[in-house]
Amino acid sequence: MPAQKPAVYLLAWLACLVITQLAWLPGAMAADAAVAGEGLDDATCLSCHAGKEQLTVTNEDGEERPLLTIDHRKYIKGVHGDMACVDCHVEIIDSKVPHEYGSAPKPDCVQCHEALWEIAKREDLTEEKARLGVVVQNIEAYKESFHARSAPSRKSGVKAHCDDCHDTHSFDVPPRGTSKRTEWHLTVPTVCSKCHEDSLEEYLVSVHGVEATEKHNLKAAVCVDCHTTHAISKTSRDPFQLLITKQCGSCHEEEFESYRDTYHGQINTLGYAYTAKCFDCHGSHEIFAVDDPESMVHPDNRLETCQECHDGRKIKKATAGFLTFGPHANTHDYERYPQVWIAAKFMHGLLLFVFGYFWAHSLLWWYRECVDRCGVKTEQRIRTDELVGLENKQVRRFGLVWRIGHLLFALSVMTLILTGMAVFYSYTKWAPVVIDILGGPQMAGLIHRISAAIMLGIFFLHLIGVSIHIARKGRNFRWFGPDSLVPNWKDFKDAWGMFKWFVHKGEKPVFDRWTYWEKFDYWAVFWGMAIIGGSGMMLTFPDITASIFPGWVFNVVTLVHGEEAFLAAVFLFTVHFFNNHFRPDKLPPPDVVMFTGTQSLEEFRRDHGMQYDRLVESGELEKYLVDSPSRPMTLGSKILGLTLITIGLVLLVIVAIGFFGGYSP
Amino acid sequence: MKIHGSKYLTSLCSGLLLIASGAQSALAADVQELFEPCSVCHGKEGASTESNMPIIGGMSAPYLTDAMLAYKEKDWPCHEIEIPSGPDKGKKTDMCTIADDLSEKEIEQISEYLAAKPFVRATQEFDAGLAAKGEQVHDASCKKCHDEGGSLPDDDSGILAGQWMPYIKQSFEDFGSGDRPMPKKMKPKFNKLEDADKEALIHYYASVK
Repeated sequence: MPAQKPAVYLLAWLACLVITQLAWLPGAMAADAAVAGEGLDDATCLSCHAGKEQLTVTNEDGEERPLLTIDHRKYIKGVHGDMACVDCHVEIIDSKVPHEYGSAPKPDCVQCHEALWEIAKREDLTEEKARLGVVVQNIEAYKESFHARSAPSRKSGVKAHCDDCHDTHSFDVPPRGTSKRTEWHLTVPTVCSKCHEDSLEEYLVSVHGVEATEKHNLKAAVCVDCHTTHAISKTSRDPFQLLITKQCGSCHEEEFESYRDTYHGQINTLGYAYTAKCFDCHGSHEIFAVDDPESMVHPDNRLETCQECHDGRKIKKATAGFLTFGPHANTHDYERYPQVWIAAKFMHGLLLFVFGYFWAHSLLWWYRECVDRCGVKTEQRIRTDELVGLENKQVRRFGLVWRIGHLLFALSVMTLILTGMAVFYSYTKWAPVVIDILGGPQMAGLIHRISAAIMLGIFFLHLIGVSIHIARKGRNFRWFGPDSLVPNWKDFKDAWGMFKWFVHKGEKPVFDRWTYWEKFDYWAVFWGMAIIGGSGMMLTFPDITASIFPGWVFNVVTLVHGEEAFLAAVFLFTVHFFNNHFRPDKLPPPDVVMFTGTQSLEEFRRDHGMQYDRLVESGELEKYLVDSPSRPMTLGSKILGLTLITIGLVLLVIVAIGFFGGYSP
Repeated sequence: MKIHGSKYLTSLCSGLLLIASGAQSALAADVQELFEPCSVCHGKEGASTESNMPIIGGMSAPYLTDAMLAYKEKDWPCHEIEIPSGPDKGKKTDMCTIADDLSEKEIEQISEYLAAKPFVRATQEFDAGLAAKGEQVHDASCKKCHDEGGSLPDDDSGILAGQWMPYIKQSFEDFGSGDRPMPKKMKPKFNKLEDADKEALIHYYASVK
């Protein structure tokens, strides 16, 4: 580009700005706009440009071309109809043949509209001239779009300029929401196909195309419904690929929601474009109804479609079992998805029951302990342990293996919750941040599976350990005895007794080694391992699952996995935390028995009175007495405890945000 | 001794400016240092003089980043090459290994650096007749995304005009075998091309002015 050109352009632009500022006073869209030169009214222009005669002009290269004509009737009906020709064509200063152009540049939609909007803002007319604002928004979107990129060989210098799609003279795009708009809407494919002929060919035979062009269905999708009107970006790049699901979803709302419930949709919601999006399965222009043999998702073609991504290279190859997976399954259509409906009802019932019972239990317990302790300053004046020479001694509740196991469980379950809930609640603001920090969904998935393997590993080691322990005891192991974690009648009696005590209708039960809520905590893990672990394994090895089970099992298993994980997470950070750290008797947190392994005699006697009495009577108490933990050990345990509690509560908050947040558009 | 207020402010500002410009040039020097090993194969500022190594200076940053990330993920084929010069001359390596050693941030930095450089077209001999045919094939099948003879970096489709012919040939082979994935719109168009069409295209791109 020669060096002078930028300077000329700058001058011309400045001149245009000055002239347009002078020419366009507020409300200058009136018919009596200033005329730039003598005898330059519309009638003069139309005497040549109305097209009554076929006129030709010679351009700079000496070639003849037909004179540009406009349809004046259409023009006055359009949005620019109130304007005179020379209001825009400020470069025309005479009615000579040919024109001797003035120094002002040719009309530029962008500059004019941006200037007009600035004036409207200054004059505080933005509400009255709201459509000007829309134009400016469209211009901003266009500037970022692919159409605005350079194409030196084209007259406009860009891929597509305003007048490639809009006939400026008769511009009359009806505003959104009007009935005229929906009619205009169907003319869009003709406009885009001026350049995109191939896409039109494909579109016309598609279900959208047939609806739009043959059936004149006003709701049918046309080019701009997917590609947007002005923010048209390269379709192979991520921003568009993510946008398209929202565009499809703006009409196909139910399918959009059900898609977002699947792993494909969750990753998409997190802002990653590598999982299946609408067009990956349904095609982009060549979309056919599912029962059409041409459709990519017709049962005959579906496996090939799945194998486009599930090709065995990076992820396992899709097998026939994948086909009965419901990519748009929902929980409220018993006719179409009975298994998912049943699974959902069961899980919701389970959640209601567990939380209903245990939250009531916790609330009442909090109330009852408050009555006993709150507002009453208890001061231990007599150090009973000193009296019997047992200062610096505590009762051993948990051995080292238990404590390490519990700690690893706590850490792995928290990791599982963080990585899992970020996918479960992909639509929250926090989820993409967490996934990003973890290094993307695939890394988060790997971390998730490693933590799950740790948990499962500890669980199985425990099973082996317990089996050996019971085997050693042989006939002496009392399955329903006080040292066993197996529930017995006393537990049910205690549970009932506790509720009576809550409401002042009975004495507080006296507990042996394992209280009923501790037993519940223990067995809940078995349930969790079976449900979450089992479903998780099925999801980790989808090809094996698909070779044994029908595809709908994936829908059920995904639902169950997520719901049970939610149950576990909320239960742990509410009920479990309350039982062990936040009830009035245990305040202030943390209770460190699970880290130090020991409890003071006083606390032991209060919490497990029956065991205490039993051990004193049999003289076995001494066997359980160990040195009190050292100061560093106690301090370290408190710090560890508080850290874990804090992490747990943070996780609870982000889960709550997800639960109460709901889908964001 | 009381330091005069304005003098203190001036020295503070100039100090900060010095640090900022130092940091700026340090960053610029950083990228140049980062690109140094790449220039052994891809030439100074990406203007490769080896016919099997693509000229990458002047391609758009998004395209270059996508390419490097594709190599990182081994989505593009990792052809083994021999380093042509420098201290590691003769050693074998491949783009996947190289991309794996770079962080995403470094890849972005290199891409921005190369995008600001001019695309230096290769001087190559081509057959005029084949080039003319190639232009027709290009206009019919490729122009939509590889505008102006494949010379516009802003198309984010790489640069074909003036690219090394052997490199384009290798890329065509990779596309054809499925080793290198094609954008969805490219696949049907490319797969319809005959071998003669592809040969013509290669000559056309060498001929684009």
